[in-house]
Amino acid sequence: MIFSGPVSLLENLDLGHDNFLAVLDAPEVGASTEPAQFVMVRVGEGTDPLLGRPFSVARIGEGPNGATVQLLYKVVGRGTGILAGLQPGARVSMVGPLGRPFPPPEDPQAPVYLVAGGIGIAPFPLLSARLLAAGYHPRLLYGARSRGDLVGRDLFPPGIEMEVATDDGSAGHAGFVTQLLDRHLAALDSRTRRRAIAYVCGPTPMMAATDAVLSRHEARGHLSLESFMGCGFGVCLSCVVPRVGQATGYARICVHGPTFPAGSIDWQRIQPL
Amino acid sequence: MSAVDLTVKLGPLTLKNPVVTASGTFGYGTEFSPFLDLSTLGGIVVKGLSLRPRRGNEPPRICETPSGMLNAIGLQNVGVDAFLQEKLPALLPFDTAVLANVYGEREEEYVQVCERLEGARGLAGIELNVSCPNTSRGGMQFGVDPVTLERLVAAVRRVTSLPLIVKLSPNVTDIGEPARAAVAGGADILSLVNTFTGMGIDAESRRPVLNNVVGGLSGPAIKPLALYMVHRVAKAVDVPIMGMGGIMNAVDAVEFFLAGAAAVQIGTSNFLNPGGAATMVRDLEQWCSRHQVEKVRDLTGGLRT
Repeated sequence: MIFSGPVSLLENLDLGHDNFLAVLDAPEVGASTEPAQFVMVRVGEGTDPLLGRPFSVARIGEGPNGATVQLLYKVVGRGTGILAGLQPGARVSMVGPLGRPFPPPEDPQAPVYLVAGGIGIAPFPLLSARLLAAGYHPRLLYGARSRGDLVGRDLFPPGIEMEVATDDGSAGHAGFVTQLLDRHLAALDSRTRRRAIAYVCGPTPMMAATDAVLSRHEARGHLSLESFMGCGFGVCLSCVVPRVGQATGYARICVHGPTFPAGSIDWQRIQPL
Repeated sequence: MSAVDLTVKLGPLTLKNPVVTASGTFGYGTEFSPFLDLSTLGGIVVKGLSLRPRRGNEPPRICETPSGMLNAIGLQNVGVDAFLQEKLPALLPFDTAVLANVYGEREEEYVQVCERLEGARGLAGIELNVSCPNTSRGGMQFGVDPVTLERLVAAVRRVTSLPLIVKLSPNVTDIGEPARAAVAGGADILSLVNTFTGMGIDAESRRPVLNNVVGGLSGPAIKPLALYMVHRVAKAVDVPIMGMGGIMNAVDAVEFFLAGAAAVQIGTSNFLNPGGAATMVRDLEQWCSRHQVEKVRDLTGGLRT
């Protein structure tokens, strides 16, 4: 069964620049969530807003009743705006965990890169914890518009190597995070490069660019896509994305993803919003 | 507390309870197995089926509105053959009435889909979708012209022995007219309402929110409109009605019964509360018990005016 019901907000931390960390008392969800899986969260008692919003699970913590589910989110609209205004003790509706997680690297010697753009950092603290526990040494490449947008770095477990990039050069590399990945892959010998694996999450143009970098270097990767969703479990048919070689059909991000293998999304057919 | 009789009889279709999940909001049924026991439901109407698979419209396909949502999916579906081979057999273990929603671009397509469904094991009835606002051809154009509608229903009636439900569009001046036409064509049951044609506009980009420009409005926002139309159709025709439009809980369902519906369909609610339809069956039983209603069917048309 997938959990569906009310949960309590334990904390709602303001991380600055419209970013927040919600800590929710959701033991059933936390106990079974894998990296890049998401939950649908619906705020408010009435019917406006009506639909849930998808949130990637950033971290699973310990709470008074067992596992907590921690969501790192940016206020982008009405739903997230209402969520940001909630105080500890508030109840929200949650459905989850949903979606297909990032698959493990399955190669103990693989160089592992986590490539995050903006609030696309959300699934990586949990993925980092699982990768470290499995003996991998992931390197986080984190790009954002500006220094203040590089949120959530303290959610990562110790032992994660981190490099940052900012569009305005206010921290780390001045430029795109894809350029950092490109440099790293270029520095590997060709055999190691083909064993490398990248886990990617960020805005669509950044994901398309990263996918191209991976393809050029013949490196493996998995991309976690995001979309507005009506349901989160495959029936509303709204979060569709065109896949390479599937001219006649769409994949649903919620059930076929949110993670997709690098090279499988037909970026040319995604219309700019 | 005596047990409440939840069974309802809609002409040739008997349901163990009056809570049915609506087409386009419940996939092919098994998607909801992680959230509820499908056997608790009175029935399931599957996603609209066409003769061939349809990929649907380009995204964005939905957007939220105050207490509602707009959708323009464009009838993405696996096609009737894949439904018969893969989807319908998966529902056989469940004790619920499986109803196939049928869509066509032309009268002939409706007929062909219904011919293929004839005799299918585990199928309890057909719901004709003559009211989809989101396709360039077919769908709603059949539902808004009474002459065309009667001819279409009669054509389908000739090829199916299953209980025949016609799902009406609310996008008409007087819904009594297509209701009478559908009954004249041979409909056993009417279901209403499908979504109201609407649109969303993004002021910043000055563009429509949906790629399809227009979509269908559903959710609690349409409930008063839907209640009125059920009331109107119940006065216009003599066949049983499945009422729908923004039903979120058992009390909403009771309101539709009082307006004249013999059963209800749960739609948009399934998206945000995936176990909700099963909860509504339990809550409905309790509501009836608290109000000394021994048979839920006694509520139908019980509006005091």
